[in-house]
Amino acid sequence: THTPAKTSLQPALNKLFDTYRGMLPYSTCDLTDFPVDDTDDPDQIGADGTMKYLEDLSVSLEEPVMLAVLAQVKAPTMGELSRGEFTNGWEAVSADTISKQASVASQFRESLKSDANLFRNVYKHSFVLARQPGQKSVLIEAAVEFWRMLFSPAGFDWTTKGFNWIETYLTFIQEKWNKSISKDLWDQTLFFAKKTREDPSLAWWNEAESAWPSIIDEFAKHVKSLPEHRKITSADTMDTS
Amino acid sequence: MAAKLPYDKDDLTSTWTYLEAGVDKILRSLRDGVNMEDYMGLYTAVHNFCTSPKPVATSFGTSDGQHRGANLGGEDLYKNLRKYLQYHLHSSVANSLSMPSEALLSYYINEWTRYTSAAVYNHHLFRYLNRHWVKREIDEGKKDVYDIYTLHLVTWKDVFFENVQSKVMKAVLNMVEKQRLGEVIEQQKIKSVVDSFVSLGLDDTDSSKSTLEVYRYFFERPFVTATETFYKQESQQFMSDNTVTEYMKKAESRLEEERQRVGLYLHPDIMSTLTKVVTRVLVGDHATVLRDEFQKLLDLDRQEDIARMYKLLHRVKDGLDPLRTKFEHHVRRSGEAAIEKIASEGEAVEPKIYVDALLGVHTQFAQLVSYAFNGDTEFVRALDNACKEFVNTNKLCKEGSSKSPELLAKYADNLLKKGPKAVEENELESLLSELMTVFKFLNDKDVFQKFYTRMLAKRLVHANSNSDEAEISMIAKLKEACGFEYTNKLQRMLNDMQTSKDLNANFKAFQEAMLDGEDLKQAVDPAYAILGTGFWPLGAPTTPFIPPPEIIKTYERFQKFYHEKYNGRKLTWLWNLSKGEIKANYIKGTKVPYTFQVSTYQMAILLLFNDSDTNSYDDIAKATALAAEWLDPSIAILVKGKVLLSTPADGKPASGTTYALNYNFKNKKLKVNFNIGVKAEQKQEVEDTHKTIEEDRKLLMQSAIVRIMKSRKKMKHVHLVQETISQLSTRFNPKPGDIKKSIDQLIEKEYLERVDDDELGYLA
Repeated sequence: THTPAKTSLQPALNKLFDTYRGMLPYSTCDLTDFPVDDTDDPDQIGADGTMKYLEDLSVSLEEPVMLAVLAQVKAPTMGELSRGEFTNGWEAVSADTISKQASVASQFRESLKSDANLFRNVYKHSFVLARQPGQKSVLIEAAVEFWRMLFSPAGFDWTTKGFNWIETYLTFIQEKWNKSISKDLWDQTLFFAKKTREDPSLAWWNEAESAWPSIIDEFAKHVKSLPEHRKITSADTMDTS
Repeated sequence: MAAKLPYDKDDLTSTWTYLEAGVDKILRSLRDGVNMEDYMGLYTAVHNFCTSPKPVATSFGTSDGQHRGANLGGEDLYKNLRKYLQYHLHSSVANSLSMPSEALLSYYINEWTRYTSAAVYNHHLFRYLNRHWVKREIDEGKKDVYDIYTLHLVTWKDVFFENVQSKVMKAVLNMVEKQRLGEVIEQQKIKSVVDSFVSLGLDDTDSSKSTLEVYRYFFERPFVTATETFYKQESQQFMSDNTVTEYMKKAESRLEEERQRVGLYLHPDIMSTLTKVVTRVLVGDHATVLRDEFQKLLDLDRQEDIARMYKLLHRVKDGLDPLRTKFEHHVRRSGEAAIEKIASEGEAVEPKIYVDALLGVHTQFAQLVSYAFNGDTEFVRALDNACKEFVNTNKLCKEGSSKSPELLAKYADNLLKKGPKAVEENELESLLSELMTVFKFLNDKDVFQKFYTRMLAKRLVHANSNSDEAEISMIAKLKEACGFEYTNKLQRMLNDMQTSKDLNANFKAFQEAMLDGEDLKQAVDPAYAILGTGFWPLGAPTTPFIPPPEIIKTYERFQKFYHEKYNGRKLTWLWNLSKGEIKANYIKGTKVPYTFQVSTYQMAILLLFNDSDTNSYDDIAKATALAAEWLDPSIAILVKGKVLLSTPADGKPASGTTYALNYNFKNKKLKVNFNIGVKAEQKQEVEDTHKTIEEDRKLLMQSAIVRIMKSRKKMKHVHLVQETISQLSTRFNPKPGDIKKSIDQLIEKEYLERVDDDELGYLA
């Protein structure tokens, strides 16, 4: 029963894709219902089309759910959508109209905070989006922007009582890390964030036996030296939550 | 047997009356002798009584009455004998009751001797009984029936021993205490008591065997308890009245005394228990006090007392552990202090002084270990650990610095280099061995290797090595310590020099064949060293250079010769390391011309003056093409040595200055050396060496990690770090943080991947 349903959604999705393909910069043109085919690649939506599309889904560029949508359609870069991934991505959740897709997006908005699997996928795909074309790693500036969005309260809230992990991390990494962010460091950062939320005292961290990338070890050491961290560790042992 | 018997052989009472009188005589006065007739009479009486049939009522109702009869006859005799022995011994007990303990001791021994001799005699007398009735009873598994000799012993134990043993032991212990306090005693008496107690240990299951149980319970146990009490008291008293060192002497002699006591009059069985108790009381119970004294003894270098303390505490379980810790700490402190002492004399320390200071401490304590600690491997390890600490970290070699390997390499260079301070060859070998002692403690053996390689290269290139044999010997030592790979390049360098020697000889022949007499006279007398690029730590010159025409022909000829021999090899001329000698025929007022030892750069400069007496700086720069950083110091030395005179007189080597040949040059020596390295250059070299070490270490770490992962495929992050450290520890001690960084880089370069959060995989 799935197979026929699948095939039946493809034409509609392709049509929807074409609506946004090759769109003129939308600030200069409000003929939104009339696609202007000015790109060579018929299977791609460019930056302006993507922006318009997201707007139509009522997804803001400032909120992490935007990354969830782009992960759903496996956008190859920040301002680009590919036909195959677009149609397959939406077909998988049976959303073949803007309104259905918008409602999937608002579901994402709800569950991003609680659904660890969903967030992990979004986080992983964000690395792809953050990369410069042809690069294996992410420039530090881009990484900081993405992390700030991903680790915000609307995403994975990386703060614990009395301690703002994400800002501390971003400050630290901008000061101490003069290289780009590797895939490994990207992945391990999320893993580290999870561990710190489970136990912000860092009691589980041990430099000699840890397997963290060295910059994360240095960060852990740095955090332990902070007076405000020491405060929360002692407070935490008081209430055994 | 016609004679009438003095008893009725069928009647028990009659027979026993006869026997008792005999046995009584034997017990009381065996020493007076028993005549053969009496003996035969008694023996026969036993035989007769046992064999005579007895019409006794017991034959009724039993199936083998005759047999029983014979049994009963034996049994009656046996019981009567036992009753008699009991009676006899009870009277001995009665006699002893009023005796003071010393007298009792003698009495016990006398009685014992007399009684046991009689027992042997009676055993023979009652042989018939032994052979038949007793044997049968024992065979049937009857307890409490013994052969006649054993019956004597059992009865003795039950009656006499039981009543007097505690009093006897009291006497024994009194005597021993007296002896411990220095009195002379009749120790043979104690030995007799021991023998007697041992004899009384009868095995219940087999009376022909003996056990030590009686002896252990009645002798050993009270003896050991008394000993413990005695030494507990004595040691406490002695310790409060004397110094710890005096106490140790006392304890040592007491332990020896007790050991000897066993041999003199105790049973060897007591040895281990007695030693254990005495050791515990004399050493174990005072171990803390002894150990507290250890530091003082070390400070005062009281080797004999230290040795004594070691021997004493060695006897106690775990007694030496705290000593070892203190010793290690002390050695480390001594090493640090030795370096602090020489460090205060200024920043730049002589390599020899530094190495001597390190060695001095090691030698001192190695000697102590072998003398006082009996070469104990655990103490050797403590010494090594301590040396490792202070050799690598001290006031001159701060944490993380590589001063120690650098200074040690310099020291090696000084030893192996020709020079006024060079040592005799036979002395050299032992100095090199000492050097290796320090080398083994180095953490950063790779740093030593770097410096050593550079210095060896210099020695070889400048031909100022003191002795080829010593060079070879040193490399052999390093190879033995660190393996083939460590010395590979060093070995190759030596080989290159040997090959070059042969090559020069061949070249000479080649040149002689090619040139006629006149040309040969004109030609310079060259020597070449062909050095493999990969093995020598020498860089190509950093400046362009136009060699002087005088040598061009010669070196081109060599190049031709070489290329004929080894087609396709490229020669790079290391002008920066080349040198030569030139004769100064121009100088006035000397019969024998001066010889100048110069670098090839200086040679090129000086040879310009063959054509013109004055040359400007710019002329020289143009003719030699040398960069200022090489040209300027080369000129400066010639000016300083007054070979050239500059105008203006105080002009720096720079455009505008001109130079004239000094015809009035004077020097005490006929051979003058101007080929002197520049200080700043040397300092730069040290810095460069350190820099390459950092780079090399990164490579070493990465290649070790890749090597490990290649063979393991998958590995926990922690284990990989540990394994890398252990693989590299023969060269240097990598920091876990640095290894982690290398791992990060290898992940980035996709040699490795993270298969799990704490596990890594190898990507082929």
